[in-house]
Amino acid sequence: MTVLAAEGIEIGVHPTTTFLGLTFNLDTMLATVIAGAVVVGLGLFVRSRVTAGVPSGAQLFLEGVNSQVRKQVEQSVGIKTAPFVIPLAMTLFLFILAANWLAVLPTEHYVPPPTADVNLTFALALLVIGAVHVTGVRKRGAGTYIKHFAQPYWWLFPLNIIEELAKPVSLALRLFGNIFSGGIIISLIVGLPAYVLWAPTATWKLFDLFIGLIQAFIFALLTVLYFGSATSEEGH
Amino acid sequence: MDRLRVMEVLAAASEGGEEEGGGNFLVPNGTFLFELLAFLLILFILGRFVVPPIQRAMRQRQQMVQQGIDDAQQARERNEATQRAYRQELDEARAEGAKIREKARADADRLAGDKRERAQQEVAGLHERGEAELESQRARAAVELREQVGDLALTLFTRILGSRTAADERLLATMDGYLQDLEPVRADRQESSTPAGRGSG
Repeated sequence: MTVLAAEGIEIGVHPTTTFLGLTFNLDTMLATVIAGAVVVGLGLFVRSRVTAGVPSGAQLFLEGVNSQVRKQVEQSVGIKTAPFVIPLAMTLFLFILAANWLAVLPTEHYVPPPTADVNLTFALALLVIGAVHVTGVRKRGAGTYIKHFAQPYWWLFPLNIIEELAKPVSLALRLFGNIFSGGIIISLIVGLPAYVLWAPTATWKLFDLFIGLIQAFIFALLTVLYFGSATSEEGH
Repeated sequence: MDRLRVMEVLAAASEGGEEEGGGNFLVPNGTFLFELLAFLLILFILGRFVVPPIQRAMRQRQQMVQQGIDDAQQARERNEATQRAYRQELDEARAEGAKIREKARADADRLAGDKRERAQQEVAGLHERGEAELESQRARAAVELREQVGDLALTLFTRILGSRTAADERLLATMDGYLQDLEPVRADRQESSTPAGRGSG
């Protein structure tokens, strides 16, 4: 800790406050607000000048995301089955991307990427998995939906349940682990002499952009696939 | 060395989390609720105010593009129909022109034939009239000549002999008879010579 303190990077350490007996990580909340503001600001900016004619770059970006998500939802779930999956997956992708890319800024001390905190990743994962199960029950009925965990053989029921429990955990920890490890790499890099520090830092930040994009894509994609799995008649 | 450093970082992270957060950093705390609400708020704003207008704009653009494709298709079909009608009218006009030309040629042939026939008829008429005229003139000349030949011969004879006797009267009658005898022979010769003359002419 003393080594890291000297370099000003503290991984997994958050300034906190307590409210109603609950602990809140201030830096994570601040970073979440920033990432959310970026996404909402971009969305409202595009909305203010949305056009059916020649789209601006920002509109083109959102349209591209929308098209890809829509295509994926059509293939996996069906638009009519769960139309709300499109805005959900879009928001997940954009928000996680904005959150991940905060890691590129040299502000790890004050605004670390909020996805490097399990609070955000678990919140997103549990929300997604909860929505998946609710949609599955609504689409197929509670009895049929529960029975499909015993498919194709009844004795696979426990394994299927474990799989269902593992889904939100793996979803959350995958994202958290990737972004958190990025912070660790940075904290290792800053231990290098100053005259070579820039090269690995720049390289890693660029790579971090790529990781952030991939992780946001994977989270959104898995969300769509989980919805597809829960609503399909074939079961798992 | 690197491995040692990673261990240090992770250990520091774990300790730091426990020190300041009051627990392991892998265990969610109250921030979880904040994050959940924050994401739901973002989802609400995007799902309510951003995604629908974008999807609407995309649909409209798609409709515009489709409309453009349909218009282009219709224009192409109209163009093809116009070209077909143009070609058909051109063919009809050509056929009509050919028909008119044929008719004109037939009319011209017919008119030329008629003219030629009329001209031939006129020529034949003129020829016949000329021949008749010629024949009548010749006959008249022959009559005059016949009338005058006897007198001339007699005059000549009388001048030579110096008087006109009864024998002269007989001689005159003989000459007239001779001339009258000659008349049918001449007519036969003329009849036999006329067809050959027409055939050759």
